[in-house]
Amino acid sequence: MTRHMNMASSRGTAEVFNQPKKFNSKNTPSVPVENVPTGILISFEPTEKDHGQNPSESPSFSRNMETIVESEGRSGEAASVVDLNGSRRLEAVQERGDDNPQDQSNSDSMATQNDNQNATDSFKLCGYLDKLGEKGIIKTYKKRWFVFDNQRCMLCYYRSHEVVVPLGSIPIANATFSFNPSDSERPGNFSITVEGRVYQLQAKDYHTKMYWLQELQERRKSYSQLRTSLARDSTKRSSMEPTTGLVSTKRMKEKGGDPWSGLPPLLQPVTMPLHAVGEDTAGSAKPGISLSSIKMDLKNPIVGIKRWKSMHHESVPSNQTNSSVPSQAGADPCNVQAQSSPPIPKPRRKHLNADTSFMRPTSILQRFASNSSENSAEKCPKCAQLQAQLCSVQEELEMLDSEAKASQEVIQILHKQLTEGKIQQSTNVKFLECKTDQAKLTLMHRKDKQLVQLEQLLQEVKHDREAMKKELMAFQSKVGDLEEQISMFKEMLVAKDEIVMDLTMKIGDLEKAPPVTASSVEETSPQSPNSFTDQNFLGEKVDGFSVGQKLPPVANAFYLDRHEYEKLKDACQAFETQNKFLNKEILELNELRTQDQLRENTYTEKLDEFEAELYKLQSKHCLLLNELKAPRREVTSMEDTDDLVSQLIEEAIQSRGGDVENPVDDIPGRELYDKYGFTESLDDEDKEADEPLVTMAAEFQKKVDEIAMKHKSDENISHSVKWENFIISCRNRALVSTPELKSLVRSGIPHEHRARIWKECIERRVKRDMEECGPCYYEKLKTKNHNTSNPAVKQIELDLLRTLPNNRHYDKITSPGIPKLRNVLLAYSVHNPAIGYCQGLNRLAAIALLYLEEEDVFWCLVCVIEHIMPMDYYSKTLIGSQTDQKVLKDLLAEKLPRLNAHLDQHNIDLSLVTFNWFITVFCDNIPAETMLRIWDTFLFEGDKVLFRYALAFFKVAEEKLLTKKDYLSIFATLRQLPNMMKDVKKISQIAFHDLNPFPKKNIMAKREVHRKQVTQQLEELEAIRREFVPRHSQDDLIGSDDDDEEFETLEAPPDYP
Amino acid sequence: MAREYDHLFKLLIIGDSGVGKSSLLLRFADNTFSGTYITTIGVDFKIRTIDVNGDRVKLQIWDTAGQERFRTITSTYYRGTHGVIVVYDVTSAESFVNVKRWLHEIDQNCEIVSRILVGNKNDCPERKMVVTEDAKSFAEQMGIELFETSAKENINVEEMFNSITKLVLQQKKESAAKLKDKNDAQTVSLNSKKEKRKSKCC
Repeated sequence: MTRHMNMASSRGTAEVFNQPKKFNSKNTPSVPVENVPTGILISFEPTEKDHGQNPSESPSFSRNMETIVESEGRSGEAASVVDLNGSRRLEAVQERGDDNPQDQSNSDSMATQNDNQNATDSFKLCGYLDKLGEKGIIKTYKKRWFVFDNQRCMLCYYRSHEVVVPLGSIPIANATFSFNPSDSERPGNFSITVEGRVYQLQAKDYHTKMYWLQELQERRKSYSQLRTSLARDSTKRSSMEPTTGLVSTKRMKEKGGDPWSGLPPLLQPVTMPLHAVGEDTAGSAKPGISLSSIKMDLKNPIVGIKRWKSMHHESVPSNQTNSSVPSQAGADPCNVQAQSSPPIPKPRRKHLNADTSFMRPTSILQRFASNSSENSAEKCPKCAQLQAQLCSVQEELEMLDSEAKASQEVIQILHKQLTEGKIQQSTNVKFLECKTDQAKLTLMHRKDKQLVQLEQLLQEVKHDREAMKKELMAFQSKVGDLEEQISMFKEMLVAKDEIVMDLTMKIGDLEKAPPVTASSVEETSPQSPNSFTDQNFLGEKVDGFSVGQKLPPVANAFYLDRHEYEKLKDACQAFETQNKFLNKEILELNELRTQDQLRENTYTEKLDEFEAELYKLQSKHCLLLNELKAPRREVTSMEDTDDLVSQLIEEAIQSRGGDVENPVDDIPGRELYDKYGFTESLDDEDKEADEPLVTMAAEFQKKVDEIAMKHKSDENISHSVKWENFIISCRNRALVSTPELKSLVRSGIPHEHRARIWKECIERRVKRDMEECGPCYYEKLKTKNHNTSNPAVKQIELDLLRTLPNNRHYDKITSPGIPKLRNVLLAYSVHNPAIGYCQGLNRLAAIALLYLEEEDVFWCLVCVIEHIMPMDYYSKTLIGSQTDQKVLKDLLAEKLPRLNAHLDQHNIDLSLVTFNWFITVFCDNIPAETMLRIWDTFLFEGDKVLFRYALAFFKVAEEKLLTKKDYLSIFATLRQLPNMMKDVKKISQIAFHDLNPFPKKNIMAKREVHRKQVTQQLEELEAIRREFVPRHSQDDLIGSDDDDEEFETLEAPPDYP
Repeated sequence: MAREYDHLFKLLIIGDSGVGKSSLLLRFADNTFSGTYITTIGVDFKIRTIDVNGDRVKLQIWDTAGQERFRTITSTYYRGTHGVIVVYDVTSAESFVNVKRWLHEIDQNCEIVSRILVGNKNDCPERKMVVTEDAKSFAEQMGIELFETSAKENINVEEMFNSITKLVLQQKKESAAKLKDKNDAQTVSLNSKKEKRKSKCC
């Protein structure tokens, strides 16, 4: 126990040497100040005993401490001994690299401290770090006081901890951390990169650096989580649902708790390095202000008292410099009391240094207490108090013990006196028994002689005892010395082992640079500044090892390799740590990125919401103003209100100008063309130009719709995922018509897959035609064009620019779509001269060309005209398409009887409107999105969808149409019908669900009936013409042409010659 | 309640493809012009109200497809038409030649209708193919009025529409008077052909 204490306490005193200045005050130039290690010197004190210490005066353990303390003030050999030994130790420690002995000694107490740290988030992260200056030519590291600002997530640095105004700050929220492991000279180096700027910082040592990095990462993460939760909370604030709030907080906890919980920690958590980080390190950089020691005083009142005592004693003038029992004995008061009387006052020259020296004993005491009680919670002040109480009780006990001993002694003395008395009594009795004087005299004589004899004996015994005492003392001191020597040698052995290791390394180093001699090793070894016996001894050792140099080259190489290996191993370890750290950093950054994205999405949603709200309000505002404006014509009394209204109207109209440059419309091309190439303003012509307010209101409403659509498209992500999966699943296979695919197509083919799906739909139908026609059929048709005089050429040419003038691919003669359109239409007219070219086909080809290649478009026309559509849809008679108008009318009567009756009542001929829809497959002023959806299903399913959608259109507009009560307004509404069809989802829902059942048989049957009727009507009409024409032919100037035409109309009608 | 118009007339614009029927309509109804107006398939219509001699006349003007094969369905558009505007392109002789065919078309489908001949695209003398004199003599021969217009330059468009409106208005008043006479005379002088035609239209 005593031995242990000795080790521990003396180790603790090493703190003293941790103060660089003390070293500076001595002549140790070979030792770099900043590399002074802490917590060594354990076994070197005994050597000092040889230099004037009086071993008999104090127990050995306290003497060790004393020498250390005193060595500071003492000049001469003793001090230099300590230094030398210390420096030697330094070398050894340096070799060990990052192994910080201080931390090892602290590890027990650290464990409990660490718990406290983790428990309190608000633990202030601060400490001294060296920061590389950024200004000036020579950049140097300067000591700065760094404090982490939890609220702003910034690392502020100050000139010192006393300064209030920071020199600057490093934003940590978006920072990345890194360090260079290969820089072994500066193990504490690390860098923080923020927005392109790099801050080079240097911690005291490796451990401290890792701790800083860990803490900074932790704080950066928690700050980001906080921000995310704030963003979320503010979003949720409108909806006061507690459940969602709970869910969200729960999620936050799950997320924020530990995102890596599933993974093993990449880096072991770094414990807080004592005296390197934290508020109490404020003074550590400046010697003389030892805040930490004061703190320790508070923790351990006993030490505090002791210290106070020692300081108090200090004021007592005394010359007893060599007297024993230093105040450090207080480290274990029980032991001290057991072995010696209460501390003898001991003056010191530098009480501050002594103060710092208390720190170690205190912690050691704590450690002891914790070891004995195995109570991990004794860190708290209460425990310390109890400790103190325990000690004082023990003291008391000891005192009582000694008192008891004293009492026993008294009892023994009394016993002796009693026996003495008894003897005297017996002698007196004998004496009284003697009757004669002679007898008495002889008795007296005898007694006298006895007395003299006894006296002599006593003297002898006294002498003997004295001698024995001396002998004992001598032996005792000898034993003590020997013990010390043993421990000293043990420590020295360890130290020398390390030195040997070090020297071996050095030899390895030197061997690398040939030629190397043994003497150079000695010269380069930093242990040779003074001529000292120990040094000689070491020198011998070195020589002993330098024998290795005289070994054969193989052995040399072995040493070299070994050295190299060790170095590489070290480097490898360092890089491994760096790699782990960087991996963690990547994960952290990824986490941050996810959170940022989450935040961005939240804000975008919020922004959209607000924007929609704004537009809604503006729309309402405009309508309201319009309402107010109306009665102005009649009511003249409210002039003030009128003025206000007109002013507001003006403002509203002016504000529109600003809105046009709204960030929403920041894409310059967006306003002009959509992704299909259509201009967005299709229906401008129908706007009430004289009512700007209404127009504006409509515009704002449109924007609201757009934003709503945007959100809908967010919902449709799963839809696109489904498509993605589908496309992947049938990458190499032909399209198979499954119910699943059908419903997918009905919900719309995504823009990016449309070309592929359309092409496959077409090829599925025209496969046989393609095979029959053989390869290069389309190319052949194109060359044929130039040879034959095609009657369709003129009409095609005329229609090219009139096909989709609102689409940028077809709006100019130089537009890329125009030549393709021409080629396709001409090719088809050659391919099928019976149909040639029919207006409407140009629109079909143009839409198909948006997605498909020229040749595929040609086949698309083949597919639509010859496969999907019934007979005679585009022929000269258009019987097929006319028939379908009648069929549609019948279906309308079935599905929407009210509307049908309403239209009949007003004598509306629907075919005037619907004919276009069917012949152009709804490419007729219908919003592109809706039209393409119809095309998707049309190409996949066939012509039935035309009826579905046409009826869906009427269904959507049914109510509106029913409110119109006269022919013109009904027609006007019908004319505007296509423009209204913006909600594709709703329309498709109606077309494919609400209108069911929708049997194909029904349509086929109706077609058959109506086809007959239409054909009959057509024949009648032709009959009239035939009858009519001859009657007038005599009057006609160009009657012969007419005859030809009439004939051709029925047989093989061409266009006008 | 006072009606917002005194008369409601339905006008029809016919003529070869690409002569500028839609452009004329757009110029008249919206006072706009676009060099490339989307091809008319089937029909399109616009409405404009004008004042003719103090009468408010609401015009419902139907624009038709010019391609030959759509003639079979345009026949249905003639139903209830009061006036027909036959358009040709002064830069295209062919379109002028075809005017005759269009006039026949009218005769086949309608009994009583006002007609007017319009030579459109009259804004580029260099490209003019149909000489005004030829067109005028042809119009006189057919007993219809001729207008040479330019939808692009907005030449004569208003005048042309005003003229046809006046014609229709005049005809309406005449037929009203006739009807009155007929009612007075209690005579039916319809030949068989006319009866047959009546079943087709009006």
